[in-house]
Amino acid sequence: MPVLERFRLDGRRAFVTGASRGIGRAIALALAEAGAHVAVAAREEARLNTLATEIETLGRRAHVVPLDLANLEAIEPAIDAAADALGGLDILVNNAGVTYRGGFGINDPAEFDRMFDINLGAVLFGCQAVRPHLASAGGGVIVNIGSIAGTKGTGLYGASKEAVHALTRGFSREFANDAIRVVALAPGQVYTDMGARVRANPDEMNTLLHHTAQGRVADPSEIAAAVVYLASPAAGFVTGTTIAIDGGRDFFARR
Amino acid sequence: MTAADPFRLDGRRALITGASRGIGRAIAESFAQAGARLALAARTTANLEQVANELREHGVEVHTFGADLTDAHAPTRLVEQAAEALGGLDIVVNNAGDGGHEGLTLDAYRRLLHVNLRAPVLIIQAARPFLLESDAPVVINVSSVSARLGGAEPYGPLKAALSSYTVGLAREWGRDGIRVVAIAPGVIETDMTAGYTGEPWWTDNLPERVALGRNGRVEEIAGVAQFLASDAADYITGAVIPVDGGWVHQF
Repeated sequence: MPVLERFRLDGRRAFVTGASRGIGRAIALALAEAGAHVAVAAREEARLNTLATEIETLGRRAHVVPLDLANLEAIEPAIDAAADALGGLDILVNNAGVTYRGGFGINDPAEFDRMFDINLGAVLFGCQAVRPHLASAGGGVIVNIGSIAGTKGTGLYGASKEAVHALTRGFSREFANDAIRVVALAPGQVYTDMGARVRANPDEMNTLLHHTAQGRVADPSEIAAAVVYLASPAAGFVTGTTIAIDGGRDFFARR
Repeated sequence: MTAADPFRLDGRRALITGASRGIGRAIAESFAQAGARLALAARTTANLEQVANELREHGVEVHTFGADLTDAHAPTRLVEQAAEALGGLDIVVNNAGDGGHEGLTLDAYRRLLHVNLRAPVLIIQAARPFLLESDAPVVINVSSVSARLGGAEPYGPLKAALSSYTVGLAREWGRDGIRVVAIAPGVIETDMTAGYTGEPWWTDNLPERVALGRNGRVEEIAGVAQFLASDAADYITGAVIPVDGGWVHQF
C-alpha cells in the first residue's frame, strides 16, 4: 500500500472525548478529514452540534454525546450508545482534561477528585468500556492525551497526566491479544482555551518559552496530526509508548 | 545530632505510615537502630503496638497512631498529632499503600486514589510548616516498579502519579532546603505480595524479569530509606530510586 494511504482512516469509527474545544475539536476534525466517522463527547452540547455539522460537511457521520467525563458511571453507556449509532468503534481518543488550581496541594478535596476523575478515571473506565467494541471490530487503537507536565513533574495536574502515561503502558500489554494498540501523546504548551491562563501571565509565559527549544506554543492541529498517525495503520507497530510533542523541552534553556 | 556518622539519624523525628507490617515496619526498625525518634501510623493499632513495644525494649521513643488514610481529614490530623508528640518533624515517610486486587471498579479506583495519592499529598502539605523548622528535612515517598510498568488497574498509574509529584515537589521545595525523594521497590516479600511471590507462575519467570533472579526483602528497602533520610544523601532530591533487583527485562 502506498505510504500516504496507510495514514487514511476511511470508514473507521472514532470516539473523541473533550471534543468541544481546543485539541479535542482539532482531533475530531482531523480524524474526519482522514476518513473517519466521529462520535464527539463533551459537556457543551451546542458546541458539539456545530462540530458535528462540520464533520458531516466533510462527508462523514457524526454522533453527538453530551457527557460530563467526571461522571464515571456514564462513560460505558455513552460508549455503547456511540457504537450503536456508528455501527461499531475502531478508535478511542481520551482527550478530555482539566487543569488544577491547587498546584501541589489539596485545599479542596472535591476539586482534587474531579480533576483526577476526568484526567485519570475517565481514561481508565473509557479504555475498559471500549475494549469489547474494538475487539469485536477485529482490533483498534486507543490514543490517550497525556502531558509533558507529567513527565517533568509539575504538581497534581502533572501527576494525573503521568498516571495516564503509565496506564497506557499497562493497557498496551493487557489489550494486545485483542489487536488493540494503546498509545499516548504528551503535548507541551498548546494554543487552547485551557492554556489561556498561562498565556496571560508574561512571567510564566517567558519562562515556558525560554525552556522550549522552538520558543513557541503549538497549534492544536500539530497534536491532531499525530493522533491521525497513531490511529492509522501507518503506526501499526506502535503501542504502549508516550510520544512528546512539545517543541523541545529539556532541562536547559534555549540558546 | 552526631556528626560522626552521616548515615545515622540520631534525634531525628520521623513519621512513617503503614508501619505495622512489611516495608513500613522494616523502615521503622532501621530508623530506630539509626537513632531516630518515631511516630508510627497504621490503619489498625493492634499490630502497630506490638512493633512499637519491640522497639521500645531497645530504648527507642515510639508514638503510635491509628489513621484510616481513606478519610479526607485523617492525614492532616495524623501529622499534627505526630509533630506534637515528637516536638516537630524532620522525616516523613509516605509508605502506606493499597494494591487493590479486585480489578478496575469504581470503588477500588476511588479508594486507591485516596490512599495512594491523596493521603501522601495531604500529609506532605500538613508537614510543610514542621519541615521548614527542621535542620534536615526530607520527604520519602514509597512508589513502585508498577509506576514504570503501568497497569490496567489504578495502582501502577497512581504510583506513577506519586513519582511525578515527587520530582515536581523537589523542584518546588528545593530552595527551602527540603529534600523530596521516592523509592520504587520491585517485588518485595510482604503480606501485600504474598498471594503470588511463592507461586510457580511468578517464581518460574523471575529470572527473566529481574536481573538478580529473586524477590526482594523488606530490609533491602529499609536500608535505602535510611540512607535517603540521612545526611549521607544530602545532595539527593527529586530522585526516584528503583530498588527492584534490576527490573531490566529480557531484550
